[in-house]
Amino acid sequence: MIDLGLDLVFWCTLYVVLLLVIASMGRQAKQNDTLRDYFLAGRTMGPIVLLLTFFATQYSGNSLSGFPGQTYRQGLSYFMSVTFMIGIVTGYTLFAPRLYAASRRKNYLTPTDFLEDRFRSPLLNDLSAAIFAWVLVNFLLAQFIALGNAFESFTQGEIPYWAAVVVGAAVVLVYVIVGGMRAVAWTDALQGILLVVGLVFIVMLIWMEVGSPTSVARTVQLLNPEMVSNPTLTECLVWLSNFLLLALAAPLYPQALQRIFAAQRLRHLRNSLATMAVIPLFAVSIVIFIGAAGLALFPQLDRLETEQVTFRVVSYLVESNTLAYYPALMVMMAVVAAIMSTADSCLLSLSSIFTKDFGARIKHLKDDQVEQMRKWVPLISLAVMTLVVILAIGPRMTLWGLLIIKFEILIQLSPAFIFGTLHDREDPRAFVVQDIVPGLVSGVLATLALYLGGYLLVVDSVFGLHFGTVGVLVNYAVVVGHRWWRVRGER
Amino acid sequence: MKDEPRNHSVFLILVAIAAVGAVPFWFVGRETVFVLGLPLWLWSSLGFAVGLSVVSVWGILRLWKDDELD
Repeated sequence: MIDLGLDLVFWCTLYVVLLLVIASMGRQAKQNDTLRDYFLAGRTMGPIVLLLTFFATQYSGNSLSGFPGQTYRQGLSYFMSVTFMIGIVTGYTLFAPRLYAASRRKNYLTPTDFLEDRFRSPLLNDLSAAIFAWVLVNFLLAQFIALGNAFESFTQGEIPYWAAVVVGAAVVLVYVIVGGMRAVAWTDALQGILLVVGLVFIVMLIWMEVGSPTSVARTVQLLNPEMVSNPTLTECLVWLSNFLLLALAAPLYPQALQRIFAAQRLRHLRNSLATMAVIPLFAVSIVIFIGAAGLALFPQLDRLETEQVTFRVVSYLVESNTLAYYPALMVMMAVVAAIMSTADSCLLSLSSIFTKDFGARIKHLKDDQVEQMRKWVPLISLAVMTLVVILAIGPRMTLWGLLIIKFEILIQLSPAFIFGTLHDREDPRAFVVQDIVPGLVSGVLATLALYLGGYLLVVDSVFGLHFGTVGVLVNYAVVVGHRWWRVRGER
Repeated sequence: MKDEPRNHSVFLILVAIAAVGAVPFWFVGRETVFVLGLPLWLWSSLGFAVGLSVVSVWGILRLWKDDELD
């Protein structure tokens, strides 16, 4: 692979300086020193920034390095990722309208605020906050593992994995602490633009140097026909399971929910989400194209090497055409930007959960006393980041494994949001906490039991369905069944 | 809240059709056919994916209404 070495370090340093300037602008733009101004930008997010921050947050390091790797391992049937990335936006339509309306009325700060307002259950609050925190630590960890791998690959080991993780974490920590949500959203906008430019460059380069999608597909068919052949029944079930998993779980990412809370106007939110429903047709197709080009160029990669397929393809492009050097550099910057934009959103959201959902509860603060926690935010962010860096420098797993584990837990909260927004609290038809908590606990336990069984029996799905998908089916069945039984008893 | 997409059964049905239709179940066990250089199942899934995208955009822009917040 090519060694981008010092050039990449130079451009990344410039990029970091720019991020810090934006962060200081975010700090200057603050309206007051409250938690809501810091974590939600005072609910003033306009249409362009909202769209770009949704885009940069949803398209993480995993999208640019994990998805091509998965395409390489699975073949063109990973086109499923286009449908599930659209499905994420479709998933918002099941609860976001009422959630946004309630957040404007009740001034929510974290997603748990909605559950507290709707169900008034300390147990559900603690369970949901713990799940959100687990998912965010997991996601943040995945970003820094991706960042470490990216720099190690780009620089041929000149910048070691651990150094990239530590420096990347320090940069993200500083600009998040300095500028809060404004810094995160504005830097996301910059990162979103870089991502779009990077994707356009890479598709042009592959088209010129490797071939069009049809010629790449033909080459793959000649080298490995299974990779383009009709999917098997198991692959179709995995496809369906992935769709359910992502459509129901990904909209529940706390950082995504907080972007809903931060939207200044409903029409901004609608326009952003509508655009996000179209983007996967282009962005994810390009990412699959990268994976397919990898299959055509390097048919014999082992499992860990497939995680670097994006970098290998870009290296090949530079080696075959020196004019591709700077566009390749731009693509690498886009990968770094994608990783950092997801990491900053996760860190900010995680800090808000530790501050509001855990910190304020531990100190027994009432709603009007929560602002006392504002002074603790930098320390909490530092503690969270230190934990994640320690975990990231530890043993490695493949990115996809991390992604699945977090979604399978997060999806268990979907009945609470979908049924919770179905009726007002006072409505006699409303779902109550006695319906939701048994379902949540059953879903999580079923998922964990299946994981344990799968570990012992060396299987990773139930007829192609992810363990979390089976768990959430149990969860929904328990919630609906319990409500039916309760209503019948009341009659 | 004046209206939201999930209140419309036609929206939910179209989403379900597009999401399930995008999964190439009906190509299982058949020989792979190529059309315009790509497998037919890929074209079929792409068509349903576009459909899912269009239905989602329609739901978000046309069926989500809130007089107070608009």
